[in-house]
Amino acid sequence: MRFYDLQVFSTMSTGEHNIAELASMAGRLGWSGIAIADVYAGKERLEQLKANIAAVQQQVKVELIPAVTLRPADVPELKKQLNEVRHLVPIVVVAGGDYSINRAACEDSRVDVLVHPELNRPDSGLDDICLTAAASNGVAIGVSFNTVLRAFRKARSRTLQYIATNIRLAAAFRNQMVVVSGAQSRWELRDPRQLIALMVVLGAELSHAFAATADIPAMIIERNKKKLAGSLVGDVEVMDRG
Amino acid sequence: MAEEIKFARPAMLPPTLRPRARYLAYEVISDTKVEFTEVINTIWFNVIGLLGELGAAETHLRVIKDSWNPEKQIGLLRVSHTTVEPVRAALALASRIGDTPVIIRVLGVSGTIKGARKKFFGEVDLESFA
Repeated sequence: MRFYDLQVFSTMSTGEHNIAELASMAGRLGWSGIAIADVYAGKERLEQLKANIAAVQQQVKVELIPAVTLRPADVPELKKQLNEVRHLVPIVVVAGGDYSINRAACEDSRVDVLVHPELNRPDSGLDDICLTAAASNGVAIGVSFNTVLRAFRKARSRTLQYIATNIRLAAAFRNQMVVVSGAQSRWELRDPRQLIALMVVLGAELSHAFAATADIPAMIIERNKKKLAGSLVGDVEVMDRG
Repeated sequence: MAEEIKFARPAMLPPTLRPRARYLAYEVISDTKVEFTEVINTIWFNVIGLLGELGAAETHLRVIKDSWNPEKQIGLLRVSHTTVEPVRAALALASRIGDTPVIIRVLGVSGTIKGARKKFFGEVDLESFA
């Protein structure tokens, strides 16, 4: 089984380790691929990230996927950033937390993953409107392991409660779920099987938890690579242009 | 010279009444070597932290001292067969031993110590040569 982590931060934004160090640790832990999803800070920075990834890719076995994490202040900024990045990278992750951002992300099919919708909130951050929209737009709901790892005692307990709520709701509304490490350093990466175990402890079915680290991320990557290459228009795959 | 106090033990239960155990092989990944006593404390701290005292009791957790390999930093845990996943998740939450950042990775699960040693530690016994 091929496991993919769709959100890892490198030194290009807030991360502590460079791409090569992250790839080395990810390979040791059993990941087939990781998405270097640094926080979006302009097109030049993104092109630089892609060039760095291409350079490191020649030295490591783990597949490195260029991605961006969007942390917009409001909905218009989210739309603007999506217009700028969608055609440049295979993976677009939106950092949730604010309800209006959560909802706008769920309602926009250009978003691949909405991570930690429960961050810094007194609730799980998602309602039936968001989940229905996410299901119809193919937006996956992301569980960020880093939000659990960095919280402690009461805050961790609350975070686990809200993640468990979102897992239950996502199963009810048939949403796609993914688990990301959200690692800011190589020490925050984890074995994919341990992330699956955390999902299972929080109420996910084992098969859904496996899909959240393997099948669904792989499907998103493949779909978007085809779209970027122009061989997928909407849901129709172009087999022969002649 | 003080004599070691030995407690009388109850007779071993028949196999059907014994709790079913699973053995988790784990690896501590770190830049510098860590003390085994600190590893034990970290494992217990995180299991109790995630599952609570009652949940930790249900895991029947034992950190097996003889299995610790200080060179490779690998060892074995014994847990109840129903609590493999919660213990695996609890180990994922270990991020530091003292001041050293670590990852405690589960290498795999086995039904016997012998099987775990063969499968995950690469140990061989004389039967293997037959």
